[in-house]
Amino acid sequence: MRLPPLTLYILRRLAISLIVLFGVSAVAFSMAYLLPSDPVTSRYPDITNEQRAEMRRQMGLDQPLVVQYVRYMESVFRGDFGRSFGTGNTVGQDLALRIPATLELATFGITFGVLVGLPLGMLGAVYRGSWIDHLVRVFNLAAQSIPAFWLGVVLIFYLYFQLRLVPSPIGRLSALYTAPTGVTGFYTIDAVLAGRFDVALAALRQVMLPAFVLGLGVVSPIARITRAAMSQSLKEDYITFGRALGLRSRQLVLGDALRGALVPIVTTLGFIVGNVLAGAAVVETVFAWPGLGRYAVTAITTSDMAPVSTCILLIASSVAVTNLLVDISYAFIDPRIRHEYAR
Amino acid sequence: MNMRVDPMPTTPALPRRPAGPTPWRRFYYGIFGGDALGLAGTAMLAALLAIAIVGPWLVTHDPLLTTPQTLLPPTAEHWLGTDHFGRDVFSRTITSLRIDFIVAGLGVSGAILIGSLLGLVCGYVGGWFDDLVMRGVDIVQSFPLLLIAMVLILVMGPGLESIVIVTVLINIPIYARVIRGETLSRKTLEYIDAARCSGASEMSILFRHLMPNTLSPIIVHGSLNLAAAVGNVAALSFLGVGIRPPTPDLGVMVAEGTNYLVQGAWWMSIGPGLVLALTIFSLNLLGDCLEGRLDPRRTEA
Repeated sequence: MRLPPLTLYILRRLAISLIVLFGVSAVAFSMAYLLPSDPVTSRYPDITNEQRAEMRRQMGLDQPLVVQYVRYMESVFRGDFGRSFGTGNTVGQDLALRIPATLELATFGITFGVLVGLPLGMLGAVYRGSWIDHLVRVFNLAAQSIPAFWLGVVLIFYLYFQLRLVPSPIGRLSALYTAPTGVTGFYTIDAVLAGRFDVALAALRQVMLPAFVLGLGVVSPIARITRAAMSQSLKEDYITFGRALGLRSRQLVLGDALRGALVPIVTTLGFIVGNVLAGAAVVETVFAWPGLGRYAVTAITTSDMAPVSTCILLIASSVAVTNLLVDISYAFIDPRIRHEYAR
Repeated sequence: MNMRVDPMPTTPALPRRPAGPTPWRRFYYGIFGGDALGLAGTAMLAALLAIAIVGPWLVTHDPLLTTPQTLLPPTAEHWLGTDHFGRDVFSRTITSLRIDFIVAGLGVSGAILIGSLLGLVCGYVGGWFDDLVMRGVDIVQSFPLLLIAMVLILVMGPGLESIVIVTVLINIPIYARVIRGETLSRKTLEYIDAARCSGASEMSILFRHLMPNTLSPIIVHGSLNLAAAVGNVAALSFLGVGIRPPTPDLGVMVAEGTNYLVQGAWWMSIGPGLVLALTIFSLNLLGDCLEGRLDPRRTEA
């Protein structure tokens, strides 16, 4: 049986991702292994050396690194990520609470970044070399240069402590409301689904500021790549042809040129997802957001082995999966690439 | 959205080069290509560097001296106020700038040295060595580097040396990749053949003919990378694993300030963070300008 070329391509791309994930898991495990703490000592601080040696033997910590890694991977495939000494829960339970929190924050942040960055980049490309272009450039560089943690602190000071415009920057929902329970884990969506619009509004007000800070870091890369890719696609023959046919400029820029520039923009978006997940560590710390990033930071600073390796594994896998999806999406975005596979 | 577009693609206005090359004009157009933003960034960076260098003679107080006058707002005596230990925020900010420049600068220099050497050898030798190094680079770059940096610093133990080493490690891939590409595209050029024909050894081709030509991408990526490294060192310190108190650092100062916002002590965080933002901004301006100069397709076209 001959597979269609597109399926073949997706399969090959999947195989590469699996190899990268294997390397990633090895590094994530060694990272946690390297941490300057002993899981036995951190769980039972006052035991004798003999008891400690016995515990280590029971937990398999006296085995060679490779054996421990294989055991670790076995349990990961069973869905068992170990137990956090810090929270006392299994890492799976902890993550079930924290992943939706980070996803909600990241979704709002990336949406904001794209909604601002895309038009800015298009402005820069259309008015290339004019004062508008220069203004966009300065804005991009400034957005890229402001440290997220400082911006967060400044905004909290002025908008909360001084003006009281935003709710107290602690977590996902003020203590006045009970968190909605629902399928998505996004407080805003779950509250709307439950018909509690006041809760949804409160959750939205809570997520606004951290999402803005996180999203500002997305604006600049999106705007830069949009400007570069659109400048290129605006010079393509099909645009000149469209102009010669007398098509409206708005149609040419927003429709044809943007579509032609979409592949590099989506590539950058894939790369941004990884940055945002790592950057969330800082933003979540500033806004006391109970997400993956803050969980990872706490785990690292307290040498909590199981959460550390799981978080690193999780973020790196999301990056690998996003890149995979991005690569596959090319075929659907750009008929020229689809045509390439079909041959 | 209503967007006006010129009916025909216009040729961009090249920077007008005036007739008589005065030294100033030669400097402005020769180095910055008439890019005012690049010049502004360089001027800002030069000022910040000068402040960092003469810092020890510029400070008004001992940056580590604790006094009973805690949380004073900015006055004529304490230009940026005092912190929760009664230390002078202005003096600490300047000292921090100096420390952060040194740590990030050493880290980036180390990464440039090792990374470009790796890239040079990979690009020139090729084969399994190249494959091995580049797959390693792929894996490293798929990690959340801030978290990896935190783990590594904890593994090596706190201290300025650890931060420098970690900065080197996480930035090596950037230079390895760039310099490898640059070497690959150059090693088949005729001047390399010419050098080989005239009897140059492989070492001499590598270091006397290929390496000098990779200098401009190194300078571009170096300035953008230094901007990111300064931000990362501060972010690590903010998260509590970078530079440790009492050693002054801009990230630590912002972090300490957050605990006193309730009492209205904004001066503990605002000033140090602003200096940090300006430092990163000036480096980004410079890097962006140089990037445009190096790759004219990106800005002109």
